[in-house]
Amino acid sequence: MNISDLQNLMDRLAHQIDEGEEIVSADQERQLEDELSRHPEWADEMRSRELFDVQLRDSLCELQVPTGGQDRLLALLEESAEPNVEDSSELLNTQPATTQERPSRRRVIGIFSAACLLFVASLGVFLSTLTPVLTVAEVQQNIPRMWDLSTEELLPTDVAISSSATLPNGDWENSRIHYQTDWSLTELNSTAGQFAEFRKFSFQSSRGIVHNGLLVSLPTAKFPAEEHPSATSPFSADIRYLSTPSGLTLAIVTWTNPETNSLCFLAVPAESRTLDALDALLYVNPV
Amino acid sequence: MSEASSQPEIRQLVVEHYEMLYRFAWRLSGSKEDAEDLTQQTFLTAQRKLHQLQDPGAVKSWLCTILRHLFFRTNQPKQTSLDLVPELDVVSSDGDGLDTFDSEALQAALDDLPEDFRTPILLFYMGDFSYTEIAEQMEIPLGTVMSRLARGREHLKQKLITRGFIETPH
Repeated sequence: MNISDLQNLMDRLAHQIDEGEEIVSADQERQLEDELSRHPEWADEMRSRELFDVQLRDSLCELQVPTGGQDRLLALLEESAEPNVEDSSELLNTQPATTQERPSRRRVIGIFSAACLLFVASLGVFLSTLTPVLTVAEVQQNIPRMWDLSTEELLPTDVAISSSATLPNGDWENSRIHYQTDWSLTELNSTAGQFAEFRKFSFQSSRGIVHNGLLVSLPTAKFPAEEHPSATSPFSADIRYLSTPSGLTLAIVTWTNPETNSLCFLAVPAESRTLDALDALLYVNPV
Repeated sequence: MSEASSQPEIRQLVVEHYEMLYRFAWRLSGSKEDAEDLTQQTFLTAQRKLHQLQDPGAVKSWLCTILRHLFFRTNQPKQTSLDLVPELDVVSSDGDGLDTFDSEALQAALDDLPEDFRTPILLFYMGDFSYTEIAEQMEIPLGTVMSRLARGREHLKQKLITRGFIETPH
């Protein structure tokens, strides 16, 4: 043991005494006493350190606080006393700067929840006017309203499954699917009249949150699965299973749009395990 | 009983913590002007976010965290030489019989200390936070706090020895 080890042990012991958290073993404590008795000069060093600590504390705290500063602040606080809960900046996010650049899992979940709430809220009014199943004619009639509600901000990018090779017939759980952003909103909109089905549904997340959604069945022919090999580079998504109260199992696919850095998700009924009958719910994050 | 009623009022926080935060801000920024701005901004932010304070018992820690974030959001680490250190307004010590260090020399030594080491020193000595509280605030392990405190303290000591404010230990 050297003087640094001793200091370290003393720090730990001080912490233990202050907070009652046992981090120094009885053996270590005995060793500390032995070392101090063997090296009386270390005891002097420790005393010198204690003295330095006191001097340092006094020196750091001896700055004079200007008079009037506190009163000015109180006046300022009164002026700005109106509540402002809109400021949702992440000032209190105590992640180090390096991790702030990459959204943390908690933050992604937060964005995901916020996106759900916003979209569901904006869609709710529209959904309340729908019957559970619509005819093609009704869809044709209602789709423009849907897109009116879903502004470009809400629907920054559409996606299409680019390859069925990575979409196995078996279990999708934990599999990763590659997508390409080659299915533009304009194209999707132009095929609106051909949607086979348009249903309102809800599902409950594993955290117990019920999400309402809009399920749109798209004819396979309108998904140009193999037709856009030169589309933008693929990116990957995660997939999870959720069960709706009505017994429908949905594969919820989430991904981050690399262009807008937004989180998107898409629900696909798990029963349709191939692209032949793809029902797609489009939920796009407005962030 | 509403939740708001258990929250401290902002005026109360100012009365209780203004001086500590001001000194903390001054030592952190090395500037009297920055210290006042930082302290003001801290309380203005606290006023807006008071509803987010989950544990009123941890309010001092919460305020220090806000202040640190405000400081690091707007300040890059700067190199300050002793010649550039502003004159500090110093009050006499509490009469414990010990001389305090030259305040400007101490500030220069602090400015010279990397932030990772300076912040635990300031929180420990000025904020009276425990190792655990510092670890939570900085989101670093307890052992790292101890290590940074020990190394930061040693750095300050050496700087003050170099400048002749402390006698070389024998």
